[in-house]
Amino acid sequence: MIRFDGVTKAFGPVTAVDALDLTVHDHELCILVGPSGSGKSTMLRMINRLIEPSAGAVTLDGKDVTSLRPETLRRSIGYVIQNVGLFPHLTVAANIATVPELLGWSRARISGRVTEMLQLVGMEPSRYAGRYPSELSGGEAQRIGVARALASDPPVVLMDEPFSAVDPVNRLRLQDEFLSIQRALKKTVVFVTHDVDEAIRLADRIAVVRSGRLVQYDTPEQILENPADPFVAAFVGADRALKRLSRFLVRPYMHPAVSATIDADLDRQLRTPGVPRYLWITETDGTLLGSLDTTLAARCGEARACVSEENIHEMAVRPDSSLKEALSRMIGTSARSVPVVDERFRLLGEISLSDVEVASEKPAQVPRAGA
Amino acid sequence: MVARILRTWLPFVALAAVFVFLSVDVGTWRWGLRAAFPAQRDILYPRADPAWLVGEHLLLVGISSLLAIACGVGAGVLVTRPRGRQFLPVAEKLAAVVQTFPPAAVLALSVPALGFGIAPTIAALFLYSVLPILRNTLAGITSVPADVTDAARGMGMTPGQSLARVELPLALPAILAGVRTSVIVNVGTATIGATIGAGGLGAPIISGLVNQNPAFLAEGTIIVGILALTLDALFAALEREARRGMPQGTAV
Repeated sequence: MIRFDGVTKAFGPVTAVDALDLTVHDHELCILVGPSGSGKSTMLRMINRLIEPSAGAVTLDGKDVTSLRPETLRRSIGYVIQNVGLFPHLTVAANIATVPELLGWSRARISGRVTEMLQLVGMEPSRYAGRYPSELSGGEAQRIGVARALASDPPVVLMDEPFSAVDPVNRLRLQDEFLSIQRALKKTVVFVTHDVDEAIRLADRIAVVRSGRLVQYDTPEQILENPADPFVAAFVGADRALKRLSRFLVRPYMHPAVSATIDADLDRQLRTPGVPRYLWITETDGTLLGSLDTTLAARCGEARACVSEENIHEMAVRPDSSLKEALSRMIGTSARSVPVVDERFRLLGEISLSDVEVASEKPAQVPRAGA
Repeated sequence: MVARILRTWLPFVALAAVFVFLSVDVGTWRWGLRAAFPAQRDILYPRADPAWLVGEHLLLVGISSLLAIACGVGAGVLVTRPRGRQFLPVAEKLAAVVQTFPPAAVLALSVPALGFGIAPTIAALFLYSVLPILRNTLAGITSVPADVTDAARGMGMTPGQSLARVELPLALPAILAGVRTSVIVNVGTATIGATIGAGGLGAPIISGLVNQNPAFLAEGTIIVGILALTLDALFAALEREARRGMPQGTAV
């Protein structure tokens, strides 16, 4: 547990952090979010004593952090920064080994750990261990930054805008990967960002910070639903109903899809009484092929020729996609429902606009994304 | 792997072989200089073998360069530490001022203080070498990205560990470039030491000038030239090794 007790930090006449009281619970991902210059990075850096408070105390599991040698303290806390800060003269393996080496682990233990960490962040050890940081892409470098911070298995990890310098597509990927790592490892994470969407996507609890003060500290749902003041409301944005949807997965809301198989039997399947107007069409192995408007099928002569494969890749979502993504795909393809597929594009079910509406009315009863 | 090592070290090894051969093989000199200067009575500088002169010369360059590296890198490290930072501008100015004295003047001025011979020569060479090394050490250390030093500190390195494991290795290519400049200049400047009795490869050159003997002159200048090229290739190879993995152009 990390606690700020009346912590103030002044740089000359400027008060960066003003009488902060904040408790970060064990195994929670707490995100400090606020505009730039709001003091959130200063708060983070006071936990591992890169900055010393002017007044008040930061305690880690009940112990004042100033009671420990700064180096000892920092070796027990993972640290990830925006521009990664990998050591350019050291290989990926040596970078990951930094803290274990400082802690004096044996060679065998270190090399085992390096392999384990590379696998954890989804990078093939034999390919990447010997590379230099200059030979990595931005996303790869950031993964190594995460691996390096977790190498000594610290209970607490500090992350200062870790994904901000990465392009949007890779940022989403890194966020997803980081979430699944965090679900497995359950670290106590303090994470700083100025990106509200990122905070809502990842956080167990969000601390909204403004001018060195804590404005609201609550779960993402509460922040979106009941912003404490106009500042928070404005900061989370007018689209906060949409943002809330990014917290929910498709899986609990999807339902079985009505589909037909594209085989010799297709025309007979369409003639079955009570067949709905729209059908998903799959290959015999279940792979989603397209959709079919049964009212048009009669005009095509052979139904096979009427199957629309257009848009099908833009429509399909996965069970672990967010409802926000599903909704976006519905809007993007003008469809009232979109298919849900597995990783091999086999049809699992569908999700429709009315399902999304249900979710936005009573979301609390279902597991949220990231839980 | 083998190809990389060959590419890096081959020029140095080849030049070093030529240099060693010319330093020890008196027969080739006698034959070559006789062919080039048939009119000369004395062909080889008579007071010492090439090997002896090379030894003296390397001693002058070696001692003065080692002192300059120790002082230049040491001062560069000290003034980039938090406690020494206030002296950074002073250090830069001081080194620049010393550099403006011509080497012959430094030699002449140091004779009354240190007498004739090796000591004043080494002192002059030392003063001359410190600046490029100090300047490049400063540039190398101050150009280490702030993110990298922040990461080093944030992961629990002590200031000493950060210096030894991160800052100096990253500054090394720049430092080596400074040492390279200094040492090469030193090899040439050390020949002036012969005018105040420091010996070395300047001896046949000065003697050749005084006695109007081009053979002596050739003996001295050729070996000095090859020595400079050899050391240049050595430092080029060292720099290349130090720069491994680093993106091009990060160091000065």
